[in-house]
Amino acid sequence: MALNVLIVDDSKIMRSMISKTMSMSGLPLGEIHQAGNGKEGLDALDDNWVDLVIVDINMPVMNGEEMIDRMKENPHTKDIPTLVVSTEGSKTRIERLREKGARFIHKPFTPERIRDTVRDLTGIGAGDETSA
Amino acid sequence: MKQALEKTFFRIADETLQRLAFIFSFPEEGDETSPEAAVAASVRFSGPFSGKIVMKISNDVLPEMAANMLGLDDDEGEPPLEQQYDALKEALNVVCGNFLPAVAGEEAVFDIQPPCIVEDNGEGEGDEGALSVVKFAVEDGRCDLYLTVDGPMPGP
Repeated sequence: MALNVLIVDDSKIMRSMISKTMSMSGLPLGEIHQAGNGKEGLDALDDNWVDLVIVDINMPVMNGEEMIDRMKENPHTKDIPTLVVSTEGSKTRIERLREKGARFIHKPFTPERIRDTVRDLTGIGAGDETSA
Repeated sequence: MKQALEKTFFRIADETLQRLAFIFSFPEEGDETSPEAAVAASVRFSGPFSGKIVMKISNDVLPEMAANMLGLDDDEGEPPLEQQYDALKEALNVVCGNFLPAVAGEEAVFDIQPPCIVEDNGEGEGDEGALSVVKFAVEDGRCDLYLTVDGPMPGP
């Protein structure tokens, strides 16, 4: 199964970094979609089949937490595995995101951390020893 | 407290540049000057205390930083200026996001605004009234960080 991924971050360079990390991860990737904020991310989910959402928290227009809340309200998107990649340092906020079912990776991240967390979250590529 | 703050500031910036952009830094203690040809970015935050962090980096270092973040090979040339600015803003965003909980504790909740590039190369930006300043050598250039806090900063 090829994994279609949506990367939501207001930093274009961070989207490129995550996209490159995913490409090097050895995971079976399909399409990689990108969005610059939560609202654009929800629009991308309306228009595309997505198996994994990777989202930042601090973004203009709509932040990542609100996007996750909206996803949970929609039967078509509520079960999509979600990985938050953010500089967020508040335990309170991180715990709140975990309660919403999201996994969390702190920036700056290592490629291995992204790969291992995505494998764990999706169950895809588990047991594959390809290095990032 | 000032020394502890500067030590934390430098450690976070050093770790961020290393892990994000594979750039190694060395402290330049006692240097009062700023990088001559530099680009600056600023990020505002609010929470248990409010203020801003300004990051100034030499023009010569920025293309390498962006290229490293993007994983570009030498023969791929320099990234466009927009991506170089984006690299600086993201590095500052990561410094800010890691620095605030390091000084205010992990329970503290801060709102961090999107970083922006400062016009005129950040001339005069950050220097005045900065609570903490760290200056360090990076590759063939310099990087300065300034922390400014609105009002008094709460003690530990």
